[in-house]
Amino acid sequence: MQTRIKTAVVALGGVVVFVSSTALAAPAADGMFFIHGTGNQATPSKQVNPTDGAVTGYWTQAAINAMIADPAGGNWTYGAAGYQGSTNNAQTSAYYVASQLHDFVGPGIITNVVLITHSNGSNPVRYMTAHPTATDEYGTAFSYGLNKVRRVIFIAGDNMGTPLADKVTSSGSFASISNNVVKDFGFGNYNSAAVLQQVQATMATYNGNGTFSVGTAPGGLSTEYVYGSGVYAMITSSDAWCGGYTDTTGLKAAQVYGWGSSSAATDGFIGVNSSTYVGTAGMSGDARLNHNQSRRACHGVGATIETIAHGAMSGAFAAIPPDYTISPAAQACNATTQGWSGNYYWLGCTSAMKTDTKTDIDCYVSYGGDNGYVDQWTGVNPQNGVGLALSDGWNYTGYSAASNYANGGVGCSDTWLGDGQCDLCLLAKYGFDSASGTTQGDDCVNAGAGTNNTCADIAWYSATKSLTSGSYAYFTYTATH
Amino acid sequence: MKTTNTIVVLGLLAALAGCSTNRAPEPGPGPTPAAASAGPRTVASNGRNVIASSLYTATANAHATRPLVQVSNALDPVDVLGHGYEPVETTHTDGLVIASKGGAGLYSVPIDTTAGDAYLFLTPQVEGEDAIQAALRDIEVLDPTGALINQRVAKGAGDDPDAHLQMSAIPLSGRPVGVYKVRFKSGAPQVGVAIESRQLMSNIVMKLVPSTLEHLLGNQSFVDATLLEGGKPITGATVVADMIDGENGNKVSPITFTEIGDGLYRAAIHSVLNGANKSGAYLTDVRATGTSPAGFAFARQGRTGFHYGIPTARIVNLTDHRTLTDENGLVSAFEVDVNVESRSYDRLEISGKLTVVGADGEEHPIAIAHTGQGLDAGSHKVTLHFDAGHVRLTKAEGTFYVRDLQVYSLGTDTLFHRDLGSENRAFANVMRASLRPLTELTPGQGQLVADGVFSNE
Repeated sequence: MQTRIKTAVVALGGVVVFVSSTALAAPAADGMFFIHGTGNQATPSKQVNPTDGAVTGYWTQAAINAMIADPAGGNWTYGAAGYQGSTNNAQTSAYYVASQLHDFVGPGIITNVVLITHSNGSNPVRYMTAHPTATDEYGTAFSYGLNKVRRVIFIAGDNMGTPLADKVTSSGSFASISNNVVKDFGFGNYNSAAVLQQVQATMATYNGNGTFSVGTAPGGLSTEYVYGSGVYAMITSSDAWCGGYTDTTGLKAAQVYGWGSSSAATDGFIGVNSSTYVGTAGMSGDARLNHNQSRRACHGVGATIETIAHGAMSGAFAAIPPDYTISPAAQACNATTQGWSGNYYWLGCTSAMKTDTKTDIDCYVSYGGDNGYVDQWTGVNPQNGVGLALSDGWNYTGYSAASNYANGGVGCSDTWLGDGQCDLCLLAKYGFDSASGTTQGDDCVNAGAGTNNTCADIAWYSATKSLTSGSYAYFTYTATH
Repeated sequence: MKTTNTIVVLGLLAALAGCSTNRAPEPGPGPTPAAASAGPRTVASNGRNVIASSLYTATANAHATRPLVQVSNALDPVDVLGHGYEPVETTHTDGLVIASKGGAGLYSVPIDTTAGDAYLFLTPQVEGEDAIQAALRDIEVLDPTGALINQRVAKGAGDDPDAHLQMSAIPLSGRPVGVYKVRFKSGAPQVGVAIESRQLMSNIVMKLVPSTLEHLLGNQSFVDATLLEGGKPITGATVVADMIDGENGNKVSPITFTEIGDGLYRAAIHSVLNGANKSGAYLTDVRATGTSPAGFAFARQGRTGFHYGIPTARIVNLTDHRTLTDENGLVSAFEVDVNVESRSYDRLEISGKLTVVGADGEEHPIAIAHTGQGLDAGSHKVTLHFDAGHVRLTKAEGTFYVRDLQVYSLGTDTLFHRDLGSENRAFANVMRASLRPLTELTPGQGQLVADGVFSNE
C-alpha cells in the first residue's frame, strides 16, 4: 500500500499552473500494446505498464515480461487492451481496442508501437486496418492510433475461423471432450458473438466482404505471424506442462480428432491455415506450442516475440532522456515557482536559486543540478564545473530524507515508479519516473496543451500559513497545461 | 485485353507497401486533367461485385459520427486485386443426427465408408463431467451387424487424452458400412445428444456455396448445395436447412431447397430475409439425406454463410479523376470524385484502390484511399485522395487503374457497394520520378522500408 500522503489535490492557481503553448517537448518513446483473444477481460486500471485487467486475466505478468524484455536491458513500455471479447464481435471490439490504443499512445507520448495479439485478438486489429476512418469513443479516427504502429504481431491469429467454433455452435456445448478444449472461447455460452464469428463460414464472409483486412501487409502495416503447429502432451516434458497440463491434454484431444483444424497442422485450437492467413511469417511453426501456450511465452515464444519487436525498432527502442533536459516550462510538473498556494508553501526553483549558495531540491528536477552544476538546459557552467552532480545531489537534498515525507519513515519509494503520478523525488533520484527496470512509460511526460499531470513534491504545510510553524510532507497537485 | 503501355513495374511484386496518414487536400497550383486513359481493360466480376438494386432507409448505430476523415495508404503489390472476394465453396462429408431430449429412443445413422479416420461422435448437450458420463452410459451404439461398439473407458486411463474420448468418440475403422443404430437404454434421451459422423474418405460429398458474401435487401441471392458421389450427381435427395443468426446462434427460419438438376439443389435466401431482419452475419446449416447412385444411404451436414444488410447508399458513378501537382511540378496526389446516393444518415466509408498490371497479367493494388464521413440522405460528391508519395513508395510506374470502389456502412457494418472496375478509369503513363516523395514516414511505413518492401529513395 502506498504510504504517500495524498492530501487534497491542490488548486495551485497562479502559483504552479503551467501553460504550454509550444509543441510537445516529450521525447519519442516506444511501446508494445497487447490485445487479447476471445473472452471478456477487464480494462486495466492504467494505460501504461498495467499490472491488472487483461494482463493477469489473460496473459499473465510473467508472459508479458518475457515479451517486453529489451535485449539491451530493461523493459519496454507496454499497454494492454481489456474488452468484452466474448460478448462482442470484433467489429464492436475494435471500437474499444482503438479507444484504448488511443489512450496508450496519448498525444505524442508513445510514437512507436508494436501491436501483439493472441488468437481472436487479431480481428479487431484487422477491422481497424480495414476501416481507418471509423471513429473511437473520442470521435477520433482509428488511423490516429494506427499511424503510431510500426509492426503487428499475430500470435496464433484466428483469421479463417476454427472447426471448434463450428462444433460448439452447431452441436451444442462440446462438453463431452473437456471444457479445457474450448477454454479460449470463454466459459459458459459458446453461442456468443465472438465465438460465432469464428465459425469458418462467417470468417470467410468477413474476409471477403471488406469487414476485415487481408493480405501480406494489411492496412499497409508490417504484419508477422507467430504460431504453433502441434500439441505436445508427453507428460514428462516441461513443454507439455507449460501453460497448464490439463489445457494441453484437452487441446491434444482436439488435435487428435481434427477439431482444431481442417488442416493437419494445428495448435489444437486453430489450424495453421488460419494462423498464417494474414501477414508474413515471423517464424516457422512450432510443433510444441499449443494454443494456450502461445500466450504464455512457452517454449521460447516470448523470446521470439521480443526479437521480432526488437527488429521492428531497427535494433533498439529509444530511451527517454532525463526529464530535466526539457525546458522547465515544458515539463510535466514545472517546479520553478516559489510561494504559497493555500496552506502549502511550494519550494520551487527560480532561475536565481539554481546558482545561489543553497542546495534547492526543486532545482534538480527543473534543471538537473544546483549550486553551480552544469545546467542541462542552458549548458552553462557558471562555477567552472564545481558543484554537485545530479547523482550526488540526491543524497544532499531533502529528497533523500525520509523525514520530509511524513509517511512513516518510508520516504521516496521506488514503488511509486510508473504509478501514473509524476513524483519529483524520483525525478531527482533517477531523472525520470517510470517502472523499475525500464526507461519507458515515464509518468513525467507533459501530455500537451489542455491536459493535466498529477504531480507530487515535497512542500511545507502550515495551518496558519507560517514558514516557522508547520511541517514538510509529500503532497500531490495537478499541473494544467 | 492489355495493351503494351499498361505493363508496369518494379523489380516486381516482391516490392512494397506503406502506411497511412490523415491529410487535408493538398495545396498546389490546382488540378490538371488526367492523362489519357490507357485503353480499355476490364475486371471480371465473378460474383465479387456487390450492387444494391434498391435503396432503403435504416437507422445507423451511435458510432456513425459525422467528421470527415481522409486516409491514404500504400499497399504491398504482392497481393492480387479482388483475391478472396469470391464466395468460398466448401466440401462436406460429415453427417449429423440430433436426438432431442425426451425424443425417440432409437436413431439410424447411415455410414457409407469407414475408411481412414472415420468416427462417430456422441455429444451430450449438458455441462459437467458427471452429467456427461451419465448421458453417455445411457447410450448403446450398434453397427449394421448388431454388435455393440461403444465401450467404457478402461480404468487407469490416466492422462491419455485418447482414452478419455472413447465413450464419445467411437472409431469406425474396420467396421462395416451401412446403417448404425444409436439406442437409448432408458427409452428416450434424458438430455439432447448430437450424433455426428465423420467420414473424411467418403466419395459422397456435399458442396455448399452462397451466390454472394453480401446479400442486400432487394437483391436475389441463393445458397447452392451440390451432391456428388465420385463426381456423379446425386438426385432425389432431401435437402433442408435452417438459417441461423450469426450473432447469437438463434434459429431464424427453415429454408427450402429445390432440386435444380445435375446434383444441384438451391435455396433462395432473399425469400427468407426481409426488412425486419437485422443486418449481420447469417449461417445456413444444411442437411441432406438420400441414396447415392451406388446404393449407399447417406446423411450429410454442412454450414455456409453470408452477410445480410439493408442498403441505404450506393455509388452512382465516378464524376471526375485528376492529378494534382505541387509548385515544383511534381504530382502530389491522384484524386477521384465519387457520386454517392444515400437514402438515410450513416457514416459511410468510401474507398478505392489504384492498381498496376504485373508480369503475371493480374492487377496488383499499390495504394488505397478511404474517405469516411457522416452523410445525410441525398446525393454527395465524395473525393478519394491518393497521396502520390504513397504510390511512390511502391516503386510502381505505368498506368494506374482505379479499382475496387466500395461503400461500407460504418453505422451498420455492411458492405453497401463494391465495383471492382466497371468504369475503367486510369492514370496513364505515370513515371515514378514525377511523384512527390513523402516528407515524413509513419512508423509503419518506415518499418516496411526497413523490411525492403517499400523504398523511399
